Amino acid sequence: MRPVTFDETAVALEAINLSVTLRRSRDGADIPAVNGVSFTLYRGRTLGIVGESGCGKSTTAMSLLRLLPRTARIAGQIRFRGEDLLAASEERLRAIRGRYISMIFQDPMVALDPLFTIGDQLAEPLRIHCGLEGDALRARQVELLAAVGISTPETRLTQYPHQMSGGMLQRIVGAIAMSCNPDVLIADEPTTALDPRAQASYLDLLKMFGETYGLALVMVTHDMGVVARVCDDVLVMYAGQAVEKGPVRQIFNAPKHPYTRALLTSIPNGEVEREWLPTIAGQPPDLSRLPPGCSFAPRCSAAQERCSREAQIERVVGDRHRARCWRAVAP
Amino acid sequence: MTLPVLEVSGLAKHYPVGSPWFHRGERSVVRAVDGISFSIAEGETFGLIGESGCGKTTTVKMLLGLEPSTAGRILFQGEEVQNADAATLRQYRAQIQTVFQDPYSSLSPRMRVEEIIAEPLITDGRLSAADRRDRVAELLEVVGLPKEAATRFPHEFSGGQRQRIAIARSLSQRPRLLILDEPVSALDVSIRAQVLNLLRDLQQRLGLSYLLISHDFDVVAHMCRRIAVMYLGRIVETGPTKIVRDRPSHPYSKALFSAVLAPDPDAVHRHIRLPGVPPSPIDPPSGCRFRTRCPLAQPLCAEVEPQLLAGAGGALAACHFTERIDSM
Repeated sequence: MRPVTFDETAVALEAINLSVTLRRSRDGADIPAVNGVSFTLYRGRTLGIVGESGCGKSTTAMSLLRLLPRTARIAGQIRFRGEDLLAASEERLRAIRGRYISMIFQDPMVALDPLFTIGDQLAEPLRIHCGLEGDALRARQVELLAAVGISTPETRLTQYPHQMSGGMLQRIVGAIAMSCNPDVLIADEPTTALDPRAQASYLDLLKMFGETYGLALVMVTHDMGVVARVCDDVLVMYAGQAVEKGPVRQIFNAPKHPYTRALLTSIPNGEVEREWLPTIAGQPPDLSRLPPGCSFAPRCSAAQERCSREAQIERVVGDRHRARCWRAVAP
Repeated sequence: MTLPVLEVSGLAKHYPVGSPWFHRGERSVVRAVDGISFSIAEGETFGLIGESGCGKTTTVKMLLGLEPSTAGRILFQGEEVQNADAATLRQYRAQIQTVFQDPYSSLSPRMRVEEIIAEPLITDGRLSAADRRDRVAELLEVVGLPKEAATRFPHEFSGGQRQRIAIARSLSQRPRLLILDEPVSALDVSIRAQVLNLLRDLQQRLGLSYLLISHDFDVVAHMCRRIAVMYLGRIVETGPTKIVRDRPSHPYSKALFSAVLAPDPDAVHRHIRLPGVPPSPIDPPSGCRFRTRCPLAQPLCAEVEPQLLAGAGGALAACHFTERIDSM
């Protein structure tokens, strides 16, 4: 696979005011899972979407390809190659999924079919989207496996998923995702199921993909260590909203939203036998019964009376840095 | 120094594989755990780390008496456990309890919280129903759950609260040692800190000892003063956490800790990649088991198995060429 030269300021995809409402099967209640989220993906850059379970990070990622339950309602715009993906036909989306925008999921054992060989599964997108057959197909398969760091690719093509380790399978999922040279790669917790050493080398591989092939990478994760390692930009989500977004160093070194700050201080920082960790009081809110005003106010140690009445809109707190908090100020 | 709560020496578990019909007399064995020794002091947290398949889980099974050991001894408060009579064994099993990774699968969805927490006490049979109720109420308070939680079902609780229920259950028989198997991996970041603080608080209040097993090295460093690193059924390095992590003497520990993902975008990464694939525990390499993947390996490593020897800062490492560690 040949490296590509690209313009780092070129926009690959733009999500504008994205909102997703899901129907809860238990009681039919409408859940505002994603609420007015906007972000831009650039070629060769990685955006990390971070937050805790139920904050809407995976739903946001899935909505880029409209991989949502039938009962879901999406509003807003997803601008990609001059069209709005939310207005595109199902047929058009099928031509885009796996070709221009591809995805890597958390568990490679679930993503791969146990009954088909690695070769079969790698051939599928190459046949459907790239029209490759015969020797050209095989050459491309071998090239892809080599690119994700798998030794003896010819042998591996004839093997089944159960014959390989989790780390190796996730590399194969990466090869399938990269098979048609996509513009955008969405990875949803891609290393959560891997051992620490496999995790670090997989992240390095994804980062290399982004930088070498001008791919726009979306990394959905709850792990701040993963964000620090691969992301250029960060979007912090809480209760369906983007509470803070900005360049990775600003988010880590000068977080403006109290939730981001609390999240960063509550993780063990490598100090040996530290006494107590600062915690965030309470639980994340039930999305069907969001509090009025700021969703984080009930758990926020800096909350004022105003916070539980009115929600703040995004404010500019630095260069490309935004936070949704009354108390956040520009440096 | 006080008597250690748990002392393990030369513990091993070998599983025979293959059909006995065709391999009579020469069946292969999987050396899942192959002679490990460590001890845990009263009130201490000891960390056991290593990758999938290194033998951590088999070690835990032997400690809990769920798997008989092939060789070695387990001493609990100075008493031998393996050949103990039924009564002693029963007492031992009450004293050593486990908290598992996933509070969604470790709690029965059909039982109320009070039944879950009281079940070990019912089996034990020493407390009356009224005393059991009091004990459940006390335990709920200890782990920071409201009294009303007793009559509810697990599905009514969040992950963090469920882990508190699991911790309450593990404490019901007043154990001395808790085995924490990835206790916070399934929890959200903001909830992790609450559970880690609770574990620390319980340790101080009840004088508990912990054996912590985790992939998250920052959690291990946060909780443990001493750790042991396992590779293919053996402990390759053990000692004070700070020394083993920051100045490792064994090439495997060094490679393992080089993979830590620090929550700092300016951290310098020097991830040491190891060549090859992990060897099978059925026929582990001769001499040092790590030699097939070790960047420092020499001919000697294939011939002589290195023993755990004192290295820098009070750590023990099993490597012939530990003085060359800086060249990695």
